[in-house]
Amino acid sequence: MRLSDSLGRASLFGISILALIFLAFPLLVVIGISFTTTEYLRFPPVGMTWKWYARFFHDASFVESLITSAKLALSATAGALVLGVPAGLVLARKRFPGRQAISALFLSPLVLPTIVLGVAILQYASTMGFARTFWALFVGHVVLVMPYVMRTTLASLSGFDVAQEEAAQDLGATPLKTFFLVTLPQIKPGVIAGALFAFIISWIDVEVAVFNSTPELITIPVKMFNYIQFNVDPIIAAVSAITIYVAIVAVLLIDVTVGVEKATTRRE
Amino acid sequence: MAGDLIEIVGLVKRYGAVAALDGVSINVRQGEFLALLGPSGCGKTTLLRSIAGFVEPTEGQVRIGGKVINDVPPHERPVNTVFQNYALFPHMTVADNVAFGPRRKGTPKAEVAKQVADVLAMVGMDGYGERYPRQLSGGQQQRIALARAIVNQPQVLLLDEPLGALDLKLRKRMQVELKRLHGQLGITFIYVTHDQEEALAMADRIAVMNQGKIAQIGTGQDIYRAPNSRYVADFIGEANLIECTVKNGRLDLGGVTLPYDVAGAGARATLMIRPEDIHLGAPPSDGAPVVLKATVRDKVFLGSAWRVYAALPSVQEIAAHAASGDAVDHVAKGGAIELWWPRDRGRVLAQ
Amino acid sequence: MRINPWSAVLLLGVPVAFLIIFFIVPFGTVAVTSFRMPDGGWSAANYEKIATDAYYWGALYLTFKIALWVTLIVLLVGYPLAYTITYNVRNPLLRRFIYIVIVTPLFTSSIVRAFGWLVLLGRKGMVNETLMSLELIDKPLQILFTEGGIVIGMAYIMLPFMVLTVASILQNINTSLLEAARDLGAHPVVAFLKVTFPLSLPGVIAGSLIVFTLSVSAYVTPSILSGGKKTVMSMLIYQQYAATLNFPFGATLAVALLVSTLLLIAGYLLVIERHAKG
Repeated sequence: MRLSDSLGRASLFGISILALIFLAFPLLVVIGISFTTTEYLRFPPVGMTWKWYARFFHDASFVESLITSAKLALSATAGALVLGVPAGLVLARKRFPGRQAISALFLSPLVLPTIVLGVAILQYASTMGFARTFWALFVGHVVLVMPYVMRTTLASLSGFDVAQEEAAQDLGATPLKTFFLVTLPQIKPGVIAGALFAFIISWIDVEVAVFNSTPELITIPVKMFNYIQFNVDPIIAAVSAITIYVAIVAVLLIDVTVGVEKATTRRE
Repeated sequence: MAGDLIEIVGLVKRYGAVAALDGVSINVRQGEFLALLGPSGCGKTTLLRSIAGFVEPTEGQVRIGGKVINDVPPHERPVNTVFQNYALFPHMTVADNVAFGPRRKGTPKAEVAKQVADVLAMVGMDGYGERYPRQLSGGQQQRIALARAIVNQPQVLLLDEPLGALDLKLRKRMQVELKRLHGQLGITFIYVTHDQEEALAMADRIAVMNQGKIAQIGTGQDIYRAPNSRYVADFIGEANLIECTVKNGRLDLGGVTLPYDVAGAGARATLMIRPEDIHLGAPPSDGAPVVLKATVRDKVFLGSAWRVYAALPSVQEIAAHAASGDAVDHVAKGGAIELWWPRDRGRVLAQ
Repeated sequence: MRINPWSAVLLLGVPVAFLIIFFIVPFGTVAVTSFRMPDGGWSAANYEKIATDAYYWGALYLTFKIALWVTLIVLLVGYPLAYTITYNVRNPLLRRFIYIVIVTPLFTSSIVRAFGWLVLLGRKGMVNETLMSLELIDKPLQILFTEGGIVIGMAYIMLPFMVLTVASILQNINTSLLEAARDLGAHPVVAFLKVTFPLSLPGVIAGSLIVFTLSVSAYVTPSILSGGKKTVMSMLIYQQYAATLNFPFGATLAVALLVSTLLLIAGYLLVIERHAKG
């Protein structure tokens, strides 16, 4: 029994360690390749050079799409915050018929195929006359990232002591003052985590952006996607590596604000 | 009554089919200490919250100083609340918590600082201004919650089981302090509690609530001595509730006639006697005591007295508190004893 | 907090209106377009075309086959990992590090991740070279551009979703239940099978649903790792919208994918419910 115990434990640890390597390895490979001195993709890399990063930053179209992506991710996150946080507040605090249905509506973009959202926005924007504009990308991404803001906002509000809001109002604060002085400061970590999630989901999206891009208006993942179909060189590894660095920064930021574990495993 | 600070008239609050408040009318005088007493779910907290403005009544009026305030939002009402779990703002220091109210009124900075210092001194928490609530003990948090409310000099202070989270010893001490503070400030207190001892110890008047209604209202002594129903008698203090029948206009207990006149022959009635009013041993010759024979079932030592459980002729059990002394020392389980109480201490309750 | 009704209507109404205009209506537009004919008329001909052409059935079949394999593999790998981090990793720093390792891929574009596998799985990639140097094989395996390659790449993408979903359920299981089971004489394996696993089933169900739906609609990974040699539904939809510009037919494919996915999920949930009752 002792033996089978430790055997079971060992195989459990074995699978877990392999799974973690499986998760980390491809990213390490990409980062590794981005430093190779060879003209073709090679892992392990040969030598060590920054030239692929330099090439990337000298390519105006790459830099431009990087800026487009950043602008889009920031504005979509802001849009989702402005719409999602007040809605979350009402959904968490008011009891009314249809409340469940509206909550479900806010979370539903999470479970519907993203590619269908992409074509839906394309078609809709075509009919409305704003196809393949920044606005089409913007509204598509606000819909795409809204659930992430909503989820964390609702989760932090449900853990929040309502008596505190009552106390503030009891002490003479208007509902608006109450929100900014008492509620927001305390749900801030959750909202920030939601915003970081939203940012990153927009930042890495291909399925919505691919249908709503033009050669001039193109996000970095779509740019990479197009590039990869025709060229395979270490530049793409450098671009990929840059997006991985952004991901790592975002994860670390979430970790210091609310903790990655809490932010990713908390249930509503 | 004209001149009462708070008038609550026919207040009803329904949640769907359930009535949390079912027609409550009550007046509170300026400077009074009123306790709302009852078990959980009796509506006492709902009543308090309708005065604070967190519950919108379905029917009826809440008036303060003669003005109907049903539609006045909480932040504009001249009342402040001490919340059950204090609801201190964890992201603010003690001083910021206390200054929250004065700042909302636009009080000048220097004045706010002075008010905060004064009120913290008043609750014995001077020097704690820079701490955060999580660094304080439960009792200290309680004082800050109190300070945060009274710094606004409300016309009415609402307290929602403010001592519920404290241990017994601290609770007793805070009861005394609250009572002292009430005298000092002259503010009207409305105090929700489910602890009858607390209500008796502190309140000028007690409103006992049951199922969204006020069962009885009066001073602690009134209610203790003269409860108007089984519910109130049972809820406040300990009570022997003896089931009797009515025969020839008198109470009858298993064939023994008791000297209480009751109208309505054949009906059932309940006689209430507090255990401390029941004596053992030979009854005095004067004062026309009520005397019963009983069999001792059990005897429990309480420290200051003994409690004797005895079976009555009707098989019902009765409890008596007896001071240590000859009479109780000779009582043994299974032994026959005589019990007596002054007639006026027994009280007939309607069914 | 008492929010006055008018502010509530405003605070909730604007976002709901936004979602209706930019989410519900666009999805409706897709559904409506799928019945549109090139001549401007209406008919279900597009659906007929899909239903009668084996090519589309094949794509649908492949889509679901890949999604099922991915779900299964991810469950088999992800559950032990979730279990280990929840119960066996006590060191908070290590725990944080592991969570960062799990979440970082989630925050990386699927292109980057597929690209990583493109390099690893190629004929001269690291996997083949390692296997050859170990003399386990004598000529490179064709992994890339096969179903197996797509499944590996997608399983990689989906693994964090499963781990996080299962871990969030495992966290909430009261460990005293396990201790009680052990106390009553259950072998650890029995305790797991009789107590932990049944209690973690909601996580397994939720995790497999998320992974399955995401796999069914994944576009980037299969299109990069298939090298155009295998076709799943999302690739067909993309072709219709981006290359052929036949919106109505693309819409029909999208609706077909959506509906068949929802049907499969409904069936799955029905089976589970039956099982739970029986």
